[in-house]
Amino acid sequence: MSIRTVVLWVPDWPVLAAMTQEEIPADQPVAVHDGRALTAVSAVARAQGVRRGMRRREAQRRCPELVLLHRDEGRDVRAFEPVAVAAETVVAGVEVTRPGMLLLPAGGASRYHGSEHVLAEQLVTQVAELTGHESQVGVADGLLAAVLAARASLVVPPDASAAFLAPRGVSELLHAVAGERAMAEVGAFIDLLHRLGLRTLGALVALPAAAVSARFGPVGSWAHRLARGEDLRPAALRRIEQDIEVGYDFDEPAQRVDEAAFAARRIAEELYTLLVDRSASCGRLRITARTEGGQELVRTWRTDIGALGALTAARITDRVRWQLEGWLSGSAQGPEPAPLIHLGLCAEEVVTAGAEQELLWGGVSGSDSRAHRALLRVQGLLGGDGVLTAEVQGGRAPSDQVHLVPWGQAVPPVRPADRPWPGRLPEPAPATVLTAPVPARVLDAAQRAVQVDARLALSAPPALVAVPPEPPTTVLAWAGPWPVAERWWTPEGRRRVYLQVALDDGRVLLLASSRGVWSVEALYD
Amino acid sequence: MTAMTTTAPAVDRAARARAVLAKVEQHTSARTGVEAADRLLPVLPVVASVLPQGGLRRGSTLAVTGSTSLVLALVAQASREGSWAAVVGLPGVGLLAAAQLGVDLSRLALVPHPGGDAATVLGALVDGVDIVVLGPGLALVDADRRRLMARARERGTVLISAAPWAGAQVVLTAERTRWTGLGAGDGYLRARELTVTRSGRGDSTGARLLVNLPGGPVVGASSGAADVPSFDAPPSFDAPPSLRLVG
Repeated sequence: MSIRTVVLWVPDWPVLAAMTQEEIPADQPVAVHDGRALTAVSAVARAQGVRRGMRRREAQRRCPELVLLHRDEGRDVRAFEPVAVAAETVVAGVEVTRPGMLLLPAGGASRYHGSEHVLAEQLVTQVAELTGHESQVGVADGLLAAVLAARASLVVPPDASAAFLAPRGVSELLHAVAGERAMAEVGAFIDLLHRLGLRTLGALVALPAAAVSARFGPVGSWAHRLARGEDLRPAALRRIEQDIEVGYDFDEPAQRVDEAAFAARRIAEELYTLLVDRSASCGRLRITARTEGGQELVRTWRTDIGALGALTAARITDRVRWQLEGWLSGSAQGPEPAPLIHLGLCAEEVVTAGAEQELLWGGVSGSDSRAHRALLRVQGLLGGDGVLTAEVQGGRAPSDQVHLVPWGQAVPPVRPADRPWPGRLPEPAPATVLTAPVPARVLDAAQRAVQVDARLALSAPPALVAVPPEPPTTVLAWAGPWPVAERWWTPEGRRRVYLQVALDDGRVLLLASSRGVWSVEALYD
Repeated sequence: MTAMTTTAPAVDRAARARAVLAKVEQHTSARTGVEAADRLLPVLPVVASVLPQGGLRRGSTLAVTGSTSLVLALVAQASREGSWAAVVGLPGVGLLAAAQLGVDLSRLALVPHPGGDAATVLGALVDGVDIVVLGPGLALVDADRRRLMARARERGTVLISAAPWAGAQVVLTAERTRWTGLGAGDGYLRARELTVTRSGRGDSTGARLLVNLPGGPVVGASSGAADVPSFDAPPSFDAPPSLRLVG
């Protein structure tokens, strides 16, 4: 059984996204590469003979004015969001299969717009008007046929998908794949089919499905299914839940809690009904009140299971009444008590009911998603760089061995952690790593500065350590010097000598000497 | 003969099954009891002795001063078992040390500089994260702190302050750290023994306890880990490597 599917395809998306971000004019030949070979090529560059998969040097030989840009999958995804939003102005829900391509079931949308041709026209027009990108639309039964139809800007009539696909080459299967690993797997499979003499999709379909599955495994069944013009699964449409807002204007300003609570009950019931109608629940409840003096009071409450239990009209009312009591009676730090003229409730973070539920043995499911939401909220307050997440990476100094990235971004570590890293400082690592090293003086018993010579020997055993504002402290025990010469073949090369010292006052420091200057890098506390 | 050989493992299996069930009951608070009712977050065995209930009670506030390692060690076990943790206002926290103590960095978020919004940021984190570690120097007034504690109590979040905190249920003060492994120009820091004083509301005993934090990975490590010479150890030829108490 296959579903009538519409596919909207923006050709050469990675290049278009890169050109939009780098503000490169459209008449310039552009290609995107991953360091080894070109992964996407613009139409202008293609006209000059540049092809995908070509080496950079080869491409530049064919087209010397070619602009080469680095591949960035995050950029592709970010830039595609406006296209998806533009498509959503025409239809209710879309599934983004990969940046550059989205699909939607044709049935309802084409009936609403009149015909599939009108729907396709609408989609192309809206995307071009709102984002400025040229796109192509194809309609057919099943995913693969629709993808290939989009590449040719065709509407394949119903039940003609199998005939449409049969004469096409098996390599067309690659167009229905997303993801690098799947791409490689399917590529190997297509290569195998070629060697076996199965050159068209029709030839593949002619084989019995069970035999294909037995010979080629999951990838074979997948290909056979697609080549028959069938679907793997219905489109997973994304649904945007909007905040639900209700409000009440008082005819006469409410001065007493019970007056306001009466209105609160009404709007709480209204909000509850709206939530139930959409079979949704909300993560936060925002209570807004406007006073006669024009002051706006806002308070947000968490309402997921962990906080409130199931959200019912009575509970919403209670919440609002407690809040109103605080506002109307006035407390020490609270706002000046004043009569209310407007009361509003807004359900935020609306999610489909059932996304979170209590576990059988206590606790709440979705603790990960709750943490994610909290961190996203903090990121909203402080900016993207305000919340960081860490990963252990290779390196020698304690600060080098941690890879910090803004929360939610996937940046792979610079240095692999599973290499030996000779000269790395021994475990345990210091529990406090100073963000900026503090200069210090290391003195020997005769109050002379301790130096490390070219042969990495200390001029004398350290006896005193002074961190400038403080008086010198006696060294009880020490270890080192441990030399580390890193990346001397690059401009950011560093030569340092490390020393662990335990001081008389109980502190244990990691000292580093660079160009004869000692500094405190970390504290073992 | 055959009966004996078959029953002995059967008894063993029954005992094992019962132990597992008891663990599950305790873990999920199905059984009533002081510990179970309070919903404890697990901590590493080496630091369990310093906490009055042998674990972090959900909704409680702790003040831990004098040792960042102790703070990280308290977080480690819960983090490994799936809890989320956030470290706010401690830009210098040693994340490598955290990882070595067993903290799962993929479930650890850092907010190094919350700035003037500290109260709002912490409020949001208390809502979503199981353990919030607070650094010194956060822009919080006493009212903010009280509100935060109340919110943590309601949400079942554990607050661990690395600075003195008025009203904390448990106050742990690391008075001194005794490191082993460091010599006069030889050896390296291997293991430490913390002397921790416990005080706080409803606990006026001022118990003094010893905590041994091994140098190597805590995961599955025995207490003897410090005695195993490491490949990284710089060789010292003039004297046999000896462990000396320092500090």
